[in-house]
Order: sequence, then structure tokens, then C-alpha cells
Amino acid sequence: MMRRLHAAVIAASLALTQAPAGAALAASGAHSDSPLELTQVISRPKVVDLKISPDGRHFATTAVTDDGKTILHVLDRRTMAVVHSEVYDGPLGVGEFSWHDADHLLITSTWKSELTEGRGSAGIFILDLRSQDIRRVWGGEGSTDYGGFEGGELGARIDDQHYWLTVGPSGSSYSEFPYFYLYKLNVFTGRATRVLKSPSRAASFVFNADNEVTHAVGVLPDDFDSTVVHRRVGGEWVHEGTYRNPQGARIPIRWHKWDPDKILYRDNTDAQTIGYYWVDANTGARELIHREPRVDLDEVVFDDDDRAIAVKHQYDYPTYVPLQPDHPQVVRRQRLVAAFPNQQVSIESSTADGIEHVLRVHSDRDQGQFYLWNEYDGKIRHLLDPRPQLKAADLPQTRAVRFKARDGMELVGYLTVPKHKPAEKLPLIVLPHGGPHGVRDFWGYDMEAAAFANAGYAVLKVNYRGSGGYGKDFHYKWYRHWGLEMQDDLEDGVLWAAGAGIADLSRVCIYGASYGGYAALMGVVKTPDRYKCAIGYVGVYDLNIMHEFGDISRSKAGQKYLDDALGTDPADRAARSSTPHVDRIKAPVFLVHGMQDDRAHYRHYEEMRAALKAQNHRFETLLVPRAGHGARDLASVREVTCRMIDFLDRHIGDREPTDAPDDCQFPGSKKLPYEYFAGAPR
Amino acid sequence: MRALVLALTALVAAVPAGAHALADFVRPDCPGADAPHSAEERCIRDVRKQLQQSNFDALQKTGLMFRYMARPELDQHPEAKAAIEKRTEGSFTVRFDVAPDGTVYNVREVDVTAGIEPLAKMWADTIRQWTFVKTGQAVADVEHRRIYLYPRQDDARRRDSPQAGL
Repeated sequence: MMRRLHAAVIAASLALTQAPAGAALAASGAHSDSPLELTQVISRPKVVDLKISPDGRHFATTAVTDDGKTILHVLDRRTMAVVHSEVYDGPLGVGEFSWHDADHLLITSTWKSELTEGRGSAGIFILDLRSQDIRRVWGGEGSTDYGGFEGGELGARIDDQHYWLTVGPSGSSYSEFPYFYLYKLNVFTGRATRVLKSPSRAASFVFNADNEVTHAVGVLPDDFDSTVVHRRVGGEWVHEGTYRNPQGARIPIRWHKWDPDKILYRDNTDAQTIGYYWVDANTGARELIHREPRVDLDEVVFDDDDRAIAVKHQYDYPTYVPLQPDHPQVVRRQRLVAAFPNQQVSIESSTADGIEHVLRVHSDRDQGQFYLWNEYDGKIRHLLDPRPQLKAADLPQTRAVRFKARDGMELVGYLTVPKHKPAEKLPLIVLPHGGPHGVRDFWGYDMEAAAFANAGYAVLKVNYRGSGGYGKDFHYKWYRHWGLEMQDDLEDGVLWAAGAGIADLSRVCIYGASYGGYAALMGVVKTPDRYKCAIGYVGVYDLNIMHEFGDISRSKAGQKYLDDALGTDPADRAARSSTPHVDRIKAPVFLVHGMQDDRAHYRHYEEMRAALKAQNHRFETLLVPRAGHGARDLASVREVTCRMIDFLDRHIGDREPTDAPDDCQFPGSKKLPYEYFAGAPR
Repeated sequence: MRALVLALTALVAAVPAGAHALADFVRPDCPGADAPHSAEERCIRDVRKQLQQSNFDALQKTGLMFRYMARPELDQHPEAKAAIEKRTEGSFTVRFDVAPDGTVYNVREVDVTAGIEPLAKMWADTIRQWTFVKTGQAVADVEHRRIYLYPRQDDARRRDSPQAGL
């Protein structure tokens, strides 16, 4: 089934350098004032991940080839020469990897396809660097769209040979919450011992210091928005609590490192946002560690004694809040961050002695540079630039913005502006995220926003109500409000950008994917004069179609979610859908859809297209035959993005609406099926 | 008299560490067997950390920058491995010089306490492999100090975790 090729040649593309940090930063200082080629902006990083071995002798990296295959290289630290490569043929690719010890790497392989984006597990392998042998230690084959539960997921390490392995039964997928099985896996022999079955569906487990399972956290079979907690007492599961997430949940995370009576909980039952607590396992007494009033915490940072020393959140920008500003670990981190102004720094991997660390440094203009930090000599050196053809200084900047919605609610958004134009009276694209519930945008590099801004447009992303991260009510209260206040928030973002002098109110388009596609088309239905054009990508255009078709509708939990989020009244759902109201649309529309889409079912596209045609409306379509819920392969992404920019150029850019569309053909292009309907001008 | 002192000093430096009378190890003042295990373990962790920080500070004062920092390979030092398995406690300092080309030379084991010599030798061998980025001038007497210390309570689980690293 699997064939391994040794491909040292491919490794030549890994331009690993050993220069001080300053050299790399200086190198990106030279930049041009003209836009970049589209192919440059959408190019993908050649290196995905970089991890140092526990003994500091090797680096392991995953790299992406031009045809999208993920391969793994192991490099000798001293010479930077590739000493081993893992390249799989056919649809297999390298997924995650981790160093087990100085001589062994654990590697998961995944099925790669345009539909699954490598999400299906194809087994867990161990690579012996000394013998160069690789062997499979867990089968777990399967593939599934949108991420399923097949295969096994390696959990915490138990000892020098064993890991916890959580396994979902074969055939389970998004549409079905299965019970999980917990195994103890010997990664040298492949022997797996089943330890227990989860007491609830899709459960994760909590272990104590003696590696005993103490808690399981799962969901109800018929409710996505639920949490079920069990405690293990005397070898039996005892139900601790079942929660509806809109009301909040108390979720055990882990045990205290030193105090055997304390367990860390995440809890939002008595507040809007998530707080972290130490809970006494005997008395149930709770001690609040920290809670931010307006945003959920990403993380509480603990020291070696398990004292909370800082918290991280992203109300707008990524924010680190020291709780103990003079703590040596806080001071150490602040010094590290100071070396990279206006960038985010994360430690990706460390040597076993904790002295050398691989850092990933990223920002709104850089997907991530890799650095090596040696705490012994105190120096940071640049290791690797995953996209050496692109300089951060040439890419557009993104800043967080806050504005008030019409009802006074404060909203957070992210505004990306062109590098080569002043940020005044720009044509604007509103780009609502998908989801919509529980999903949100963050500050950071976004390929789509960068591509549009590079083409001369301001891009505004809004964390409209219903988005995640800003508390229970912000997330759940707006179920059944699709097309209502959730839609108004986007328009209020447009008005804010125009009021701030950034956007030209007469040149605004709305574009989004999935729910974003819903919002785009609802935008031109609800406020037909606000937008000069709309682009729907793998969009939902009819809530009644969504209620009946697609993978979400095929499970009890999915049906409940659809009832909760969309409503149970077909007439009300129709009232908040765009397809039944195409007669209200004035702006030209561009529909892009994956023909295999099972999330926003292909039928959404077919019926919207038919309705637009029946109205003799001006519209364009582009289909991606082998795509599901969005194109994955670079050639399709390139053509889709080019077509969108071409469409925008003709409606809010420098060209005329009647200009002929561009070809958008590139070497190696797939020539996706494209249609243009001139219709009657409105 | 001064010449004699210098000669004695030279003679001492030339004698292998094993030929000296070795100092007894003075155990840091950590809670003992009657204290909760975690207290002793955390104290030991802090002692090691302080020593590590002093190593960091010493090197950072020199301005040296690692080109490659080797770690001990226990399999190539069976006596050191045995000392770790026996949970031999002790401490030592490895002192070394760095040439302008970044190579390490004149590696000495000093203040080696009784029983810990194989570990001192292993670390000296390891530090000989360290390389630094070229410097303007040679750097002398860089110190790397180490301590091997174990919880006194009988804990088989932790006994299985030797201090192979730094």
C-alpha cells in the first residue's frame, strides 16, 4: 500500500540558512511599491513545520511540493544536510509528526485529495533514524470529508514506549458522534491494548499524575451544543454533569502538577466568558484563576509550580496579560517578544534540556519565519523562510478595528489596506467569515485579504454577532438571526469604514465563502443599494435547502442544530434566504461553487443560478468540478482568486462593468467551467 | 618561592583528575525524606535551575555564540550511565577555553566530588565537541557547572527518569 522513496533531491529546495536574526529582518527591508503578481501572493509556504530533536542533533521539517504533496525531511544540525526523507507516493502524504526521542520520529500519514485536504488518517508510523527503518504501528485507515473521527489520534505519552490513543470506529464521520475507545499503544511493537470505552460520544479524556483516566468530556448524540462530563470512580463512570453550551459548561482540563487534590476547570456557567478555576476534587470548592470580561481566554500560562503567571486572549490583537509581571518566566517572555516588534512569537519545539527552542514568528504580513533561540548563549538566529520569494514588507498590513453597531454593540474587525495606495476613499470588500456560529476572525496573515488588498482594495472582516470567542450570548443568542442583526453588523462595518475616510461608499462589494457566501447574497438582497457587486463562494443561498440537504442535515444532532440556528418555520427561513428574493438584487453577482460540495450543497448554486437567469440578471459563475466545500489545489485557488479580482475590477475597480472578463489562465491552469450572463442592466 | 608555586601549580594541572583526593559532595539543603515528595522534588528542580542560570550568565558575559551545542550520548559512556542508574549524587565544574576560530580547547574537570568522575568525564568530552561562531579573540576559563541530585524518597517511577540531559 505504501512505498517510501528517498528523495534527497527534493530537499534542495529547503533553503535553511544560519544567519543572525537581524540579517533576515534586514533582508526583508527592501521592497517595491507596486503590487505583487497574484501567483506570488497566493503561493504557499514550502515548509509547514520545523521541530528540533530532543538532543538538538537534528531538525525534522515537513515541506510542501509544488503539486501539494507533504513530505518530511530530517536534517543534521551540524551540516544542515538532509539525512533522511519520507515521501509517499499516490494519495498519501505526511501529516503530523513528533519526536519520540532523539532517534525516533512518530509520523501520521494522511490521504490527500482535492476534496479531503488530507484529513483522513492513514495510520501512525515510527521512523528509526539510526536504521532508517519505518514501520506502521497503527492502521486506522479511512478517509472522510470535513474531518471525521476515523483512525487514531495519539494523545499523551505514558512512558518510554507507550502513548494514549483515542480511536473512533471506522465509518464514523461529522454527521455521527460515535463512542470513542481509549487504547494504550506501544509505538515500538504496534501492540495496542484497549483500556476503556468512553461513557459519552466523541469524548476526550483527562488523566491524573499516575496516568489513570479520571474524567471524560463528550457530547450528547443529538446536540452539537452540549457537553457531558463523567468522572471515573472505582473503575466506574459517574455522571458529573450535562450542559447546554448556551447556558455554559464546567469542563475539567487537567490535574495540578503538584497538588493531588486540585483539578483545573474551564467554566462559563456563571459568566458570559470562560474563566479558569482550580477546583478541590474533594470539596468541590472553586478558586477563580482568571476571567476576561469581554473575551474568552485562549490560554492561562502557568509556571513550574502551577501558579498562573499570565493569560492570553485575542479581543482584537493577540494580547498577553501578565498576572505576575516580575515573574522570571514572564520577564523572559517579554524579552523574547521585544526582539520581534509587532509580530507574534510562539515556541514550536524545544530540546529535552529546555535550552534550544524553534520559534515561529508571524504577523499580518508574514505567515511565519523559523528561528532558533539558544537560552545558553542568549542568541536568536534565523533558520528558515518558508516563502523566500515574498518579502513581508511588500505585503499589505492589517489592523484591528473597533466600531459600534447601530444598536450600540461594540464589534471588532480587521482592516487590510493596500501597500501601494494611501488608505483613503478606497474601494472596499466586506469579507464575512464562514461558520457562522462559534467561528471568528483573528489578526494575522490571510491569503484572501492579502490578494484583494494587493489588487488595490481595502478588505474589512467583521466579527459580527454570532461569532465565537466573545461570550455565550454573543455566540448563541443570535441563532435564527441570520440575515437580521448579523447582516446589519456587516453594513455597519461598511458605514464605519466610509465614515473613517478609508472606504468609498460608492464602491463597495461583499464577498464571502460558506456562511460568508450567504451573507454576501443576503447583503445585495437586503440592502440592494449598498453594494456594487457580490461574490458567493460555496455559499448557502436558501435556508430551506440547507435544512434538507447536505451533511449537517444527515444526523440527529445536525437536524437539531439546523432547527436551532435556522428556525423551524419554512416561511421564516425563506424570508431570510436570498434565492427566493433575487428580484430585489440590483448588483451583479458572481457565484463560485465546488461541484462536490456536501456542506453548502451544490443545489444552492443550481437554484440561485436558475433564479438569477429567470430574472435576466447580470451574473457570472465558476465551477470547480473536483472541489468540495472550497477549492484546495493551488491551480484552482489561483484561477478562482484571479476570476474574483477580475470581477471586482470591473465593478468597483479601474475597469468598466461592460469590459470583457479576463482569461485567468495560467500555465498548468485547470480551465474551470466559467459562464458569463450579460443579462439586462439594472 | 614564586617559581616553586608556579611549578606546583603546573604539576597539579597536569595530573589527571582521578589522581586527586576528591571532595565530598555537600548536598544542598533540600527537604528530606520526612517532607512531602513534591517539596523535595521542587527544591531539587530549583537547585538545578539556579545552576543552569549561572552557566547561562557565565557564557553570556563572554559574548560567545554557539555554532553547535552537543549533548552527552550516554550509550558511549557506560560508566556515566551506570552512575546515573545508581543515582550517584555529586557535582563538578568543567572549565574550557575557546579559540578565535570558535573551537573549544583546554577542557578541564575541576571540583569533582567523589563518585561523579564518569559524569564529569562525559561532560568534558561533550564540551570538547561544542563549536562557537568565530570570535575576535580567544576566550579563557569559561565555566560549566553541574550537579546530580535525586529525591531521597523511594520512588520507582522517578528512578526510571535519569538525568541524561542538561
